[in-house]
Amino acid sequence: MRDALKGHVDLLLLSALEDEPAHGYELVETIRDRSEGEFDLAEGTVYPSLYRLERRRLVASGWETVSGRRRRVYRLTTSGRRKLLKERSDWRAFAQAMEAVVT
Amino acid sequence: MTIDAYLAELERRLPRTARRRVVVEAQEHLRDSAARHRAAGLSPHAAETAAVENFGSVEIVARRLAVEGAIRETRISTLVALGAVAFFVVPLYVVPENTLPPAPWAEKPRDIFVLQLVSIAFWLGAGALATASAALAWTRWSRLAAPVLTAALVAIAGSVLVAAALVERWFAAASETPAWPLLAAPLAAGCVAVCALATAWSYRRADLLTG
Repeated sequence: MRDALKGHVDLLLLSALEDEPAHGYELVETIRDRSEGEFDLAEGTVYPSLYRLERRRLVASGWETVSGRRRRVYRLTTSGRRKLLKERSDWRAFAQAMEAVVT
Repeated sequence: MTIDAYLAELERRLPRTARRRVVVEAQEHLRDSAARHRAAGLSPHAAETAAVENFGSVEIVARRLAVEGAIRETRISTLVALGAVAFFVVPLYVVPENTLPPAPWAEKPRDIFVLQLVSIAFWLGAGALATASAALAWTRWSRLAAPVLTAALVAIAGSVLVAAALVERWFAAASETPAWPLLAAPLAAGCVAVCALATAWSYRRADLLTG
Protein backbone atom coordinates (compact mmCIF):
# COMPACT_ATOMS: atom_id res chain seq x y z
CA MET A 1 0.00 0.00 0.00
CA ARG A 2 2.90 2.38 0.78
CA ASP A 3 4.12 2.19 -2.83
CA ALA A 4 0.61 2.89 -4.12
CA LEU A 5 0.53 6.06 -2.00
CA LYS A 6 3.57 7.57 -3.71
CA GLY A 7 2.47 10.65 -5.61
CA HIS A 8 -0.64 11.07 -3.46
CA VAL A 9 0.92 12.07 -0.16
CA ASP A 10 0.59 15.79 -0.90
CA LEU A 11 -3.13 15.43 -1.53
CA LEU A 12 -3.54 13.39 1.65
CA LEU A 13 -1.72 16.01 3.70
CA LEU A 14 -3.65 18.92 2.21
CA SER A 15 -6.92 17.07 2.88
CA ALA A 16 -5.90 16.29 6.46
CA LEU A 17 -5.22 19.99 7.03
CA GLU A 18 -8.49 21.18 5.52
CA ASP A 19 -10.50 21.37 8.74
CA GLU A 20 -7.92 22.64 11.21
CA PRO A 21 -4.19 23.21 11.73
CA ALA A 22 -2.22 20.20 12.96
CA HIS A 23 1.31 19.05 13.74
CA GLY A 24 3.04 16.21 11.93
CA TYR A 25 1.99 13.36 14.19
CA GLU A 26 -1.66 14.51 14.19
CA LEU A 27 -1.61 14.49 10.39
CA VAL A 28 -0.31 10.91 10.30
CA GLU A 29 -2.99 9.90 12.79
CA THR A 30 -5.73 11.66 10.81
CA ILE A 31 -4.71 9.92 7.59
CA ARG A 32 -4.49 6.55 9.37
CA ASP A 33 -7.87 6.99 11.07
CA ARG A 34 -9.73 8.23 7.99
CA SER A 35 -8.36 5.34 5.91
CA GLU A 36 -9.24 2.93 8.73
CA GLY A 37 -5.61 1.89 9.01
CA GLU A 38 -5.08 1.21 5.29
CA PHE A 39 -2.80 4.21 4.71
CA ASP A 40 0.06 3.49 7.06
CA LEU A 41 2.67 6.01 5.94
CA ALA A 42 6.38 5.79 6.70
CA GLU A 43 5.83 8.55 9.21
CA GLY A 44 9.17 10.31 8.84
CA THR A 45 8.61 10.89 5.13
CA VAL A 46 5.66 13.13 5.95
CA TYR A 47 8.06 15.90 6.98
CA PRO A 48 9.92 16.29 3.66
CA SER A 49 6.48 16.43 2.01
CA LEU A 50 5.33 19.11 4.47
CA TYR A 51 8.53 21.12 3.89
CA ARG A 52 7.99 20.88 0.14
CA LEU A 53 4.37 22.05 0.49
CA GLU A 54 5.58 24.90 2.67
CA ARG A 55 8.24 25.86 0.11
CA ARG A 56 5.48 26.00 -2.50
CA ARG A 57 3.44 28.17 -0.10
CA LEU A 58 0.58 25.68 -0.01
CA VAL A 59 0.94 25.32 3.77
CA ALA A 60 2.38 27.62 6.41
CA SER A 61 3.80 26.62 9.76
CA GLY A 62 4.87 28.06 13.07
CA TRP A 63 6.02 26.97 16.51
CA GLU A 64 3.34 26.68 19.18
CA THR A 65 3.46 25.43 22.74
CA VAL A 66 0.84 22.74 23.25
CA SER A 67 0.53 21.13 26.72
CA GLY A 68 4.01 22.42 27.57
CA ARG A 69 5.57 20.92 24.44
CA ARG A 70 6.97 22.86 21.51
CA ARG A 71 5.17 21.89 18.30
CA ARG A 72 5.50 22.90 14.69
CA VAL A 73 1.91 23.41 13.61
CA TYR A 74 0.92 23.42 9.93
CA ARG A 75 -2.06 25.15 8.37
CA LEU A 76 -3.43 25.46 4.84
CA THR A 77 -2.80 28.71 3.01
CA THR A 78 -5.29 30.23 0.59
CA SER A 79 -3.23 28.80 -2.28
CA GLY A 80 -3.19 25.45 -0.53
CA ARG A 81 -6.97 25.45 -0.24
CA ARG A 82 -7.30 26.27 -3.95
CA LYS A 83 -4.81 23.52 -4.79
CA LEU A 84 -6.73 21.05 -2.63
CA LEU A 85 -10.01 21.79 -4.44
CA LYS A 86 -8.33 21.33 -7.81
CA GLU A 87 -6.51 18.13 -6.82
CA ARG A 88 -9.64 16.72 -5.25
CA SER A 89 -11.64 17.40 -8.39
CA ASP A 90 -8.94 15.76 -10.54
CA TRP A 91 -8.82 12.78 -8.20
CA ARG A 92 -12.59 12.27 -8.33
CA ALA A 93 -12.55 12.33 -12.13
CA PHE A 94 -9.66 9.86 -12.16
CA ALA A 95 -11.26 7.54 -9.61
CA GLN A 96 -14.58 7.63 -11.46
CA ALA A 97 -12.88 6.73 -14.74
CA MET A 98 -10.87 3.92 -13.08
CA GLU A 99 -14.01 2.59 -11.47
CA ALA A 100 -15.81 2.55 -14.83
CA VAL A 101 -12.97 0.66 -16.49
CA VAL A 102 -11.96 -1.75 -13.76
CA THR A 103 -15.34 -2.89 -12.45
CA MET B 1 17.03 1.33 18.02
CA THR B 2 16.01 3.77 20.75
CA ILE B 3 14.51 7.18 20.02
CA ASP B 4 17.66 8.94 21.23
CA ALA B 5 19.88 6.80 19.02
CA TYR B 6 17.61 7.39 16.02
CA LEU B 7 17.60 11.16 16.58
CA ALA B 8 21.38 11.23 16.95
CA GLU B 9 21.81 9.34 13.68
CA LEU B 10 19.26 11.56 11.92
CA GLU B 11 21.00 14.70 13.19
CA ARG B 12 24.38 13.40 12.01
CA ARG B 13 23.05 12.88 8.49
CA LEU B 14 21.20 16.17 8.09
CA PRO B 15 22.54 19.40 6.62
CA ARG B 16 23.50 21.77 9.45
CA THR B 17 20.91 24.34 8.31
CA ALA B 18 17.99 21.91 8.71
CA ARG B 19 18.98 20.10 11.90
CA ARG B 20 17.32 22.07 14.67
CA ARG B 21 13.79 22.17 13.32
CA VAL B 22 13.81 18.61 12.00
CA VAL B 23 15.17 17.07 15.17
CA VAL B 24 12.64 18.87 17.39
CA GLU B 25 9.77 17.79 15.14
CA ALA B 26 11.01 14.20 14.90
CA GLN B 27 11.53 14.03 18.66
CA GLU B 28 7.99 15.17 19.43
CA HIS B 29 6.60 12.84 16.79
CA LEU B 30 8.48 9.82 18.14
CA ARG B 31 7.45 10.61 21.71
CA ASP B 32 3.77 10.73 20.64
CA SER B 33 4.11 7.55 18.67
CA ALA B 34 5.83 5.70 21.54
CA ALA B 35 3.08 6.88 23.92
CA ARG B 36 0.45 5.44 21.58
CA HIS B 37 2.26 2.09 21.49
CA ARG B 38 2.61 2.06 25.29
CA ALA B 39 -1.11 2.78 25.58
CA ALA B 40 -1.70 -0.23 23.33
CA GLY B 41 0.15 -2.42 25.82
CA LEU B 42 3.78 -2.50 24.64
CA SER B 43 6.65 -2.20 27.09
CA PRO B 44 8.53 1.15 27.06
CA HIS B 45 11.44 -0.38 25.14
CA ALA B 46 9.20 -2.15 22.60
CA ALA B 47 7.14 1.05 22.21
CA GLU B 48 10.27 3.07 21.32
CA THR B 49 11.37 0.41 18.86
CA ALA B 50 7.94 0.38 17.21
CA ALA B 51 7.86 4.20 17.03
CA VAL B 52 11.26 4.26 15.33
CA GLU B 53 10.24 1.53 12.87
CA ASN B 54 7.05 3.39 11.96
CA PHE B 55 9.01 6.60 11.43
CA GLY B 56 10.99 4.91 8.66
CA SER B 57 14.57 4.21 7.69
CA VAL B 58 16.88 6.96 8.88
CA GLU B 59 18.73 6.86 5.54
CA ILE B 60 15.57 7.50 3.51
CA VAL B 61 14.15 10.15 5.85
CA ALA B 62 17.49 11.99 6.04
CA ARG B 63 17.98 11.87 2.29
CA ARG B 64 14.52 13.29 1.55
CA LEU B 65 15.03 16.01 4.13
CA ALA B 66 18.46 16.75 2.66
CA VAL B 67 16.85 17.41 -0.72
CA GLU B 68 14.75 20.16 0.83
CA GLY B 69 17.87 21.51 2.54
CA ALA B 70 19.75 21.45 -0.76
CA ILE B 71 17.04 23.48 -2.48
CA ARG B 72 17.14 26.08 0.30
CA GLU B 73 20.93 26.27 0.29
CA THR B 74 21.01 26.66 -3.49
CA ARG B 75 18.56 29.53 -3.29
CA ILE B 76 20.53 31.28 -0.56
CA SER B 77 23.85 30.85 -2.36
CA THR B 78 22.50 32.27 -5.63
CA LEU B 79 21.04 35.29 -3.81
CA VAL B 80 24.34 35.91 -1.99
CA ALA B 81 26.24 35.71 -5.28
CA LEU B 82 23.74 38.01 -6.97
CA GLY B 83 24.21 40.53 -4.16
CA ALA B 84 28.00 40.34 -4.50
CA VAL B 85 27.83 40.82 -8.26
CA ALA B 86 25.45 43.77 -7.86
CA PHE B 87 27.72 45.35 -5.22
CA PHE B 88 30.67 45.01 -7.60
CA VAL B 89 29.43 48.14 -9.35
CA VAL B 90 30.82 50.13 -6.38
CA PRO B 91 34.54 49.46 -7.00
CA LEU B 92 33.97 49.11 -10.73
CA TYR B 93 32.09 52.31 -11.36
CA VAL B 94 30.87 54.33 -8.35
CA VAL B 95 34.27 54.87 -6.65
CA PRO B 96 36.28 55.78 -9.79
CA GLU B 97 33.49 57.91 -11.21
CA ASN B 98 33.03 59.96 -8.05
CA THR B 99 36.58 60.29 -6.74
CA LEU B 100 38.95 60.67 -9.65
CA PRO B 101 39.69 64.19 -10.96
CA PRO B 102 39.08 64.87 -14.65
CA ALA B 103 41.70 63.10 -16.76
CA PRO B 104 44.27 65.33 -18.44
CA TRP B 105 43.57 64.19 -21.98
CA ALA B 106 41.39 66.12 -24.41
CA GLU B 107 40.10 62.89 -25.84
CA LYS B 108 40.16 59.59 -23.94
CA PRO B 109 42.67 57.11 -25.43
CA ARG B 110 40.80 54.52 -27.43
CA ASP B 111 42.32 51.49 -25.66
CA ILE B 112 41.23 52.86 -22.26
CA PHE B 113 37.74 53.41 -23.62
CA VAL B 114 37.65 49.85 -24.96
CA LEU B 115 38.91 48.38 -21.67
CA GLN B 116 36.20 50.27 -19.77
CA LEU B 117 33.54 48.95 -22.11
CA VAL B 118 34.82 45.37 -21.91
CA SER B 119 35.01 45.46 -18.11
CA ILE B 120 31.46 46.79 -17.83
CA ALA B 121 30.27 44.24 -20.42
CA PHE B 122 31.78 41.44 -18.28
CA TRP B 123 30.04 42.85 -15.22
CA LEU B 124 26.71 43.10 -17.02
CA GLY B 125 27.17 39.51 -18.22
CA ALA B 126 27.93 38.40 -14.66
CA GLY B 127 24.81 40.22 -13.46
CA ALA B 128 22.64 38.56 -16.09
CA LEU B 129 24.08 35.11 -15.31
CA ALA B 130 23.74 35.55 -11.54
CA THR B 131 20.13 36.68 -12.03
CA ALA B 132 19.45 33.67 -14.24
CA SER B 133 21.02 31.40 -11.64
CA ALA B 134 18.85 32.83 -8.86
CA ALA B 135 15.76 32.47 -11.07
CA LEU B 136 16.65 28.83 -11.86
CA ALA B 137 17.00 28.08 -8.15
CA TRP B 138 13.26 28.78 -7.79
CA THR B 139 12.26 26.41 -10.58
CA ARG B 140 12.30 22.66 -11.18
CA TRP B 141 15.63 23.21 -12.98
CA SER B 142 17.40 24.21 -9.78
CA ARG B 143 20.18 21.72 -10.57
CA LEU B 144 21.32 24.12 -13.32
CA ALA B 145 21.73 27.01 -10.87
CA ALA B 146 25.27 26.00 -9.82
CA PRO B 147 26.76 25.76 -13.35
CA VAL B 148 25.18 29.07 -14.34
CA LEU B 149 26.55 30.61 -11.15
CA THR B 150 30.00 29.33 -12.15
CA ALA B 151 29.66 31.18 -15.46
CA ALA B 152 28.75 34.33 -13.48
CA LEU B 153 31.88 33.84 -11.36
CA VAL B 154 34.03 33.53 -14.47
CA ALA B 155 32.46 36.71 -15.87
CA ILE B 156 33.04 38.68 -12.67
CA ALA B 157 36.63 37.43 -12.52
CA GLY B 158 37.01 38.51 -16.14
CA SER B 159 35.73 41.94 -15.23
CA VAL B 160 38.37 42.16 -12.47
CA LEU B 161 41.19 41.19 -14.82
CA VAL B 162 40.13 43.69 -17.48
CA ALA B 163 39.66 46.37 -14.81
CA ALA B 164 43.19 45.65 -13.55
CA ALA B 165 44.54 46.11 -17.08
CA LEU B 166 42.51 49.31 -17.33
CA VAL B 167 44.00 50.70 -14.10
CA GLU B 168 47.52 49.87 -15.23
CA ARG B 169 46.91 51.55 -18.58
CA TRP B 170 45.24 54.57 -16.94
CA PHE B 171 48.22 55.22 -14.65
CA ALA B 172 50.59 54.93 -17.57
CA ALA B 173 48.60 57.51 -19.50
CA ALA B 174 47.86 59.85 -16.56
CA SER B 175 50.61 59.33 -13.98
CA GLU B 176 49.44 62.20 -11.78
CA THR B 177 46.15 60.43 -11.03
CA PRO B 178 45.83 60.00 -7.23
CA ALA B 179 46.27 56.39 -6.18
CA TRP B 180 43.96 56.33 -3.16
CA PRO B 181 40.85 55.27 -5.15
CA LEU B 182 42.72 51.99 -5.55
CA LEU B 183 41.59 51.28 -1.99
CA ALA B 184 38.42 50.10 -3.73
CA ALA B 185 40.41 47.09 -4.92
CA PRO B 186 39.79 45.09 -1.70
CA LEU B 187 36.07 45.70 -2.27
CA ALA B 188 36.37 44.17 -5.70
CA ALA B 189 38.37 41.24 -4.35
CA GLY B 190 35.77 40.78 -1.60
CA CYS B 191 32.94 40.66 -4.13
CA VAL B 192 34.75 38.02 -6.16
CA ALA B 193 35.59 36.02 -3.03
CA VAL B 194 31.95 36.08 -1.85
CA CYS B 195 30.80 35.05 -5.31
CA ALA B 196 33.35 32.19 -5.34
CA LEU B 197 32.29 30.96 -1.90
CA ALA B 198 28.61 31.10 -2.86
CA THR B 199 29.35 29.16 -6.05
CA ALA B 200 31.25 26.49 -4.12
CA TRP B 201 28.37 26.26 -1.63
CA SER B 202 25.83 25.84 -4.41
CA TYR B 203 27.69 22.68 -5.53
CA ARG B 204 27.75 21.08 -2.07
CA ARG B 205 24.46 19.25 -2.42
CA ALA B 206 23.70 19.83 -6.10
CA ASP B 207 23.65 16.06 -6.70
CA LEU B 208 20.47 15.86 -4.60
CA LEU B 209 18.62 18.25 -6.90
CA THR B 210 16.60 17.08 -9.86
CA GLY B 211 15.90 18.80 -13.18
